[in-house]
Amino acid sequence: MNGLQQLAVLVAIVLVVVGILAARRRVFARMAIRSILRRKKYSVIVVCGLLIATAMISGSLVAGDTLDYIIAREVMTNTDEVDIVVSALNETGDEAYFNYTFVSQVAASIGAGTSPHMDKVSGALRGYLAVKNLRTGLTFSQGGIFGFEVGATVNPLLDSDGVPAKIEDVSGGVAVINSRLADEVDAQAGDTLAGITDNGFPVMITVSWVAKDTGLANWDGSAYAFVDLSYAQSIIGQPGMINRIDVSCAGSKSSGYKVTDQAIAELQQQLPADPDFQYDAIKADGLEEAKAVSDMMSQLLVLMSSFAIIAGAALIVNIFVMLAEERKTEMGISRAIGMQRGDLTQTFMYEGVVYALAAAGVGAFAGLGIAMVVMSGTATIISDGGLQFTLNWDWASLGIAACAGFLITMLTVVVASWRVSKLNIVRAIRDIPEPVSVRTARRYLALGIAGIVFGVVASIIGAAQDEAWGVSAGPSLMALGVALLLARFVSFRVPLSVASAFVVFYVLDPFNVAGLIFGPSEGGMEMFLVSGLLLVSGCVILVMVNSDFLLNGLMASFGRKRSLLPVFKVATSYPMNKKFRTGLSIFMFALIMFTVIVMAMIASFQRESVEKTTQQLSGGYEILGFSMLEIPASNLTVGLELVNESVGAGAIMSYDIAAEGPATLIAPGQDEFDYPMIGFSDRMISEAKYTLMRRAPQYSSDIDAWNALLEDHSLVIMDGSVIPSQFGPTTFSGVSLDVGDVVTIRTPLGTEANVTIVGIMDQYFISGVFCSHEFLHAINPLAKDTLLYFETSHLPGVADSDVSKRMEQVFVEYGLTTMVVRDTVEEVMTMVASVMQLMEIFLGMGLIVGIAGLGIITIRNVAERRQEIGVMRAIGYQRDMILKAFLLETSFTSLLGIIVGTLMGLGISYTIFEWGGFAKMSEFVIPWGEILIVFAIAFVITLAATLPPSRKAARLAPAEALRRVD
Amino acid sequence: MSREKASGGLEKASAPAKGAIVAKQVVKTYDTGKVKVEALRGVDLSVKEGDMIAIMGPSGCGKTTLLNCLSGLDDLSGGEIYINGKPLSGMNDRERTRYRAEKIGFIFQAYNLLPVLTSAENVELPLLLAGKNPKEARKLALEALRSVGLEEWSAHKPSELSGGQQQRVTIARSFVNRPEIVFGDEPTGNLDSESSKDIMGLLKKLNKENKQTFIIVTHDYTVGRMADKIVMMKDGLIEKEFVPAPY
Repeated sequence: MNGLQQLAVLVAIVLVVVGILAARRRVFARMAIRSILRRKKYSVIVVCGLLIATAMISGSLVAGDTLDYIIAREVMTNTDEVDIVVSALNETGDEAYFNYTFVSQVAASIGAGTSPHMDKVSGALRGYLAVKNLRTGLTFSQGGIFGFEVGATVNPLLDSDGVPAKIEDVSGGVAVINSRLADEVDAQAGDTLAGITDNGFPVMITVSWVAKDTGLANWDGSAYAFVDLSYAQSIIGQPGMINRIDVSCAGSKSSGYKVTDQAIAELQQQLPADPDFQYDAIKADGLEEAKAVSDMMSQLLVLMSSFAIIAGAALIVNIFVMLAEERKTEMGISRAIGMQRGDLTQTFMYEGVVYALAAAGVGAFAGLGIAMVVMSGTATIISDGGLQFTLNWDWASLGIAACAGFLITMLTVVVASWRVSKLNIVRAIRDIPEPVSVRTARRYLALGIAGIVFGVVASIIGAAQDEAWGVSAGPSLMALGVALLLARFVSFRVPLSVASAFVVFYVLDPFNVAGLIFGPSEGGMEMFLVSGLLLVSGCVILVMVNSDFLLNGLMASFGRKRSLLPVFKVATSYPMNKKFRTGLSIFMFALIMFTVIVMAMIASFQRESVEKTTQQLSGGYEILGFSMLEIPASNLTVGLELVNESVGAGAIMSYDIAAEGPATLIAPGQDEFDYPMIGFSDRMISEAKYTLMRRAPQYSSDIDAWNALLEDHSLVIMDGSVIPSQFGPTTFSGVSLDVGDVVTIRTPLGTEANVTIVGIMDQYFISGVFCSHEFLHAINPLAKDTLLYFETSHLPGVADSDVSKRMEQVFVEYGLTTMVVRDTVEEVMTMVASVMQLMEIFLGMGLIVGIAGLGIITIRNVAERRQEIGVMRAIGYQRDMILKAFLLETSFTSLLGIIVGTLMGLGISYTIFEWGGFAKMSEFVIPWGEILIVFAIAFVITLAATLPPSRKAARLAPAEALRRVD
Repeated sequence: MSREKASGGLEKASAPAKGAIVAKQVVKTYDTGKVKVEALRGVDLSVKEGDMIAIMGPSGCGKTTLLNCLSGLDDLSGGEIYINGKPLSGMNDRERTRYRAEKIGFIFQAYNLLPVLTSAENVELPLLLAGKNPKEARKLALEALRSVGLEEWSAHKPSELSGGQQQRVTIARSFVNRPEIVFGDEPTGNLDSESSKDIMGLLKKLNKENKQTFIIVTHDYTVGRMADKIVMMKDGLIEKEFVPAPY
């Protein structure tokens, strides 16, 4: 059974059980239905409040479905007919050329019917090509030449209208270029491109037409010139050879990939073991990757939705507690005439089933709107709005959301119904508040013991398995449990204040107390949820048990204006008199605000980290260059002078050259990794251009550690990606190493060397085993001096990007690609910050829960306090005073929630900043503008939602209000 | 019975004195859309300053409606009410509310204290509404509670008090700002006979000591007979008015 089926079965079981119960005692079901119909508007609002959980789940899943659809569509478009790409590797691990006859062999087997899972095959030759458009003068150093079998290619080239175009004229030096290359050098049909291949062969190509970037033209996302295969073989210097076979599996474009495994098996039978053929199932793998990425996104959004779902559960409890309070008298009468407590629970449950079903149905579709917002945001972030998307969903996703939302609602409804059915009959009939009874005291005892037990278990798990959630939640639950036990002997205030303050302090943990007690622990995204729940719960408990102090303080501060005093007194007394209800409302607001604030802060850390990150990653070099071919020293000097002449004298101050060579890294107990070796020049080493995150203890400074590489060739320094991420046990590079580790380096020629790591760099931009230039060339003759580091003088009016672009033009024949470090860092950080802001928007939608909650509470308050409003009006409260009292009451609750959430969000953000690795890279800058906007939106919408019922209260005629009839 | 006859025994209103109320041809109709109910069908009534009037009659005769109209809690469908010579229809809602806050006290059957406030806080509310200094208001509230014998219960909320105690708090609230007129709607309706007697004794004492006008709606003759005058109502009209036998 899949997930949907399992959930559907559970829903069916719940409905059947409820149906049987309802059929046996129809009167209760009838009462429930009539309660719903009694006030239809209110029922609609309740459903709106309840559908949040379903909508958030549905939104998360549909966003995943849409992403899956977008990526899958891209894969389908880009691969077109091709399902498998065959290439080969030589002994050094580079791409190898092989004879075209292999294509003929496969084609013959298809023709003979011995390879039934393939229907088309063609060969191709791909190579590097630096290009200059002679008409525009624009150059592009990272282009490619793609020789294909004109007339026999598996994948067609499409014209700008997406129609397979005529390619008969593609022969000799006539080429079709893709849009990417056309954009880079501003080329059009008829232009002549001067190019140079990676073996230094100069070519002149005439552009026949520009192909749409799809199918063959979109191969690996590069800029290509497509030429006749034989012409490509001649200019690359590989007559009769190819380096790629495109295979189309039997079946249609959209279904052929399903027999990829069988087709690869047939290919393996047809092709020899030497050369080392690689079979890339590009379509199947691409679709699988699309599924993985979309699943990951769905899971992330669902995790983020947890906050809104929990807040939604609190809302459900609040709604049912209010329903119970409203019907307290009738419930008391029902009990008095013989209704059992279970009967009351059932009646509420029936009502809840109807609400839950309606909420699940509507919520699943409401999720489409949420997904639309998420995907619009994603499109804006990843393609600056250029990504076209159509909301796409799997009905199963809506089904899962509806079922999950229904079950969450029902579970909460049952618990809430059970809670509200526990009432004293006489007190209920007389509408007198329930006192703290012996039974309540017993409940606190049970809760206290449960808190301690769960706390101990969580602590043990946390300590034994280094799980951060256990380390955080364990002592916190224990503290709250002990406080509940102590509350039997002393007033609630002291033990609960101490325990809740401890929870807040312990989770924020400014002094790393948890680390000292439990040692290091690891946590993932779940820690966000755990920390949020603990902090917000702790702070809300702290506020609620000390609410009288808070009120006194507020009265002293704001109650001085005599005309406001009666308003203020009533507005603050009501919420503090209904502590459970108010506490839940504050909790809902605070939880959502917490998540929004944390996301805003992380986005801020990212934005503020550009300077320091650039400093760390660049080593002081503004521009990094990667060339395909080594640039002779004399040409480099002349070329740089040319650059300086054109952009500004002295624009490039200095440069360094490093060597790069392929290698395999063998660390004890870990998989082998292809990991390049980087040989720094003596100057780069002696000046210790790059700072170290960690260094071996025998070196007193980074310079000492770097210089040790010059004296002892068995010492190396690694880039920062080998250190586990601050947010989990994994590393960016996949290999986990530290100073003092001894690793083996194996070059493609088979030579090996054992080296000791004496430092880990702060930078992780360029991965590699860093050693001296001399050592690299000694151990690895294949290494090339192709890494260039430039320092610029920041001349006024000369942007590094201009310098960078000019260098690429000047050194186009060497295939020089450059990168302005600061621009790249800024781009990445802006993108990460944007993702965080997208999450902020997504999480912010959870505020609807809090706002709906307060709206419902206000509506209920007006109904509940009808007579009290009448009395207030009778004794002299003006209409505007009633309105102010209700709005002030709403403001008090929402503002308290917003403030608690904001403070806790800022608190945990500071902890993340200090302990999560941001302190070294960023500044703790609070984006007050952004926070105030969120603050204002939440507050204003809350006021807008509560204004209508508040105005209704103010407009009540006193004599009408004093009547008992509702 | 004709309207003229029903109102015949009452004093005619010409120049009302302080604390005096005059109702002229008061009509109150409730229109629910489907049904029109004439709760008051043209009531004439005059109450002198310092009087204690009891309005009695069977359920649904319009007692509470008349009280609501006289106190300015409800709008009239016709006729006019003068308080101290000032027509209520000439006041807008804001003025009427201010008038209630300054000149009128209320005692309700269901006590109608604000449950979230303590006894002292409930009693001081009218004073705060009148703009009294909070400390002064609290002092006067405690004095009022003392005069009804509840000073030691000042920090308790209504749910912690008995019915009689709650009604005493309501009475304390009704006179704490020395209103000219106190309206009581079944002030002893929820109390046992002993408590009723206590409460009425208290109201009578306030009436005599403070010269406040009291208009009380009751269906209990033992309560009504403590008033200076009883006004009997029937079907939205005043049936008769008489001075009860001495208590």
